[in-house]
Amino acid sequence: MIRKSALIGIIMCLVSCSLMDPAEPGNLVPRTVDEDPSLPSLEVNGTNLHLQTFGNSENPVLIFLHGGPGGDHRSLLRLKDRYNDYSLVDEYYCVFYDQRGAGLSRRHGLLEDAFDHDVKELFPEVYLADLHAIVEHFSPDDKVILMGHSWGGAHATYYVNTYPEKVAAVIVSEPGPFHSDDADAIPNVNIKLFNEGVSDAMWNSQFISANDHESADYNFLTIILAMNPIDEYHFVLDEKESIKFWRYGAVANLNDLGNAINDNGEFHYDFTNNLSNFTTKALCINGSLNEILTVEFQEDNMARYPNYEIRIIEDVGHDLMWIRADKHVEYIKEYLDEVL
Amino acid sequence: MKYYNKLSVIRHSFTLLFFFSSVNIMAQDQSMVGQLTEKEQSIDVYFGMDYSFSTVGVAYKRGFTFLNRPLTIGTDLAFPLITPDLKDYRIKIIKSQLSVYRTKYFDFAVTYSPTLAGTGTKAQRILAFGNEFGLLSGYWGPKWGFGLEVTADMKNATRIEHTSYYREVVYEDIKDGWYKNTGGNIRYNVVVSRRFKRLDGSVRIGNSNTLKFKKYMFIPLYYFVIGSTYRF
Repeated sequence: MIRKSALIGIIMCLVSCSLMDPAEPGNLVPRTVDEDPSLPSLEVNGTNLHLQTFGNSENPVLIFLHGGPGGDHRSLLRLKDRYNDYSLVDEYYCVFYDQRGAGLSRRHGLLEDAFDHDVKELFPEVYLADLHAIVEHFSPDDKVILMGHSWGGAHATYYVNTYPEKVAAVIVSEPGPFHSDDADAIPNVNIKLFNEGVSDAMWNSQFISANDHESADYNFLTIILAMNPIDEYHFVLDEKESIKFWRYGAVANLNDLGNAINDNGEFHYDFTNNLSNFTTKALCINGSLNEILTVEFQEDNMARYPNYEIRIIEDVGHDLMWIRADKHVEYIKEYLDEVL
Repeated sequence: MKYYNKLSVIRHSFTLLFFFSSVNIMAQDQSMVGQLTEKEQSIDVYFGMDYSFSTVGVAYKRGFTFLNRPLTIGTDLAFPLITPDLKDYRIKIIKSQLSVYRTKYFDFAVTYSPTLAGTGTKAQRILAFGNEFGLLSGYWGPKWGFGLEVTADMKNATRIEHTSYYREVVYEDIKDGWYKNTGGNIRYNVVVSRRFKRLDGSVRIGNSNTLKFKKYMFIPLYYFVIGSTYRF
């Protein structure tokens, strides 16, 4: 009897030891810059950011801001590629980075605080301070160009509003609202409750608990991918064109705009109260299909800039900068040739 | 930003739907509320919002006596009804319930089930072995019964395989294989039951968290199941 018990115990121990740990970085999610020193990174403002540069550092600095909050700059990397024998890298020093708490950058905060939008290390003013530190690092004496997608577009506008003297030009691709008054005007995403993806997402919750950043990030992206058919927003008509990420920051996304959200879940922020001091034309690029961030919405949103232009890319939704990176590069080149 | 985070409307939507649908729902397993007597058998069917918007399940149980105490043993299969497929299922392989303390109308029982569950999504296929422990206590009168139940389930060994799509879009070097202790849930609910001759009805309404008492992302915390049991 004792021998049998010992044998069972040994077998269970061996089995247990051979199982992988879901919280081990690198297993279900890629390692962050804190866990993999070989990743390109920059320490700024008390955090460690996953950051890559492309091009000649003598050229004007063009900084890219990804969406989310919580996304990462893999979703923007096609914008450095060559189309029609032209690449932005030819003329600009392109800086891509994952915002704090997102992608492969350092994680901050706790999931339970994120539900209450109370992760202080991920408040908008901290994102802004990170960006300013990057601007000062790469271009202490000259103005920079900003390009932001979705939340990154609002983030770019927040920076332009705060430091208009540091910005030479700004491009926003399907940006989020620059003022909370406009945020409340956006229609809800229509979640199809009887959709298999929603059912899968719920059923999935039995298996992997979001108890740490690793499992939360893993859970977040698998759930989002399961629920993906938010057709009126993304419009990914061909799965091969699916936008790519390294690792979504669940805490950063759920925390959202942090202290810009009150206890009732309402937004209260204004990234536009100083935009009048930025007189250079701003460029907005929007997809024709998005039924949430519509062209009509962007007309109102961009009107908060003194001078702006909106260009439409047909037959794409919110992933336009990935699916039609070629068109983006074309429009960005034409815009920068005009305003610089 | 809000338009994206509005995915969280799903939580509110589920909550509303949960209340609206509560009028005409039926069923969860553990019909039991009352133990089966020795050699008595039962078939349970249940339906509700239970890790899916419309989970349906069926169970078979039989009554025994163990150490002079009522013991019910059975097996239980559940799956989400929306676009049912063979990928999503939950099996309580040997579902047991032993009365620890019992008076005429009061019962305090412990429950235990080794579990096997699976799922398949656009991102991964999962197969998980686990254990579920529970306590069920209440007043079970000749017609009506009221009880409280707490269950904790844990996935002790989980095999995860990822689709080529996930590897392509997210993480090429993700490690497929067996993982330990990937998750668990603690659930606490009230139970109301009504007996009719050979047919029992029961309703369970409760709240669910992860084993570390954390909320889920995007999905509702509530669950609601109605069941009926035919005894023979």
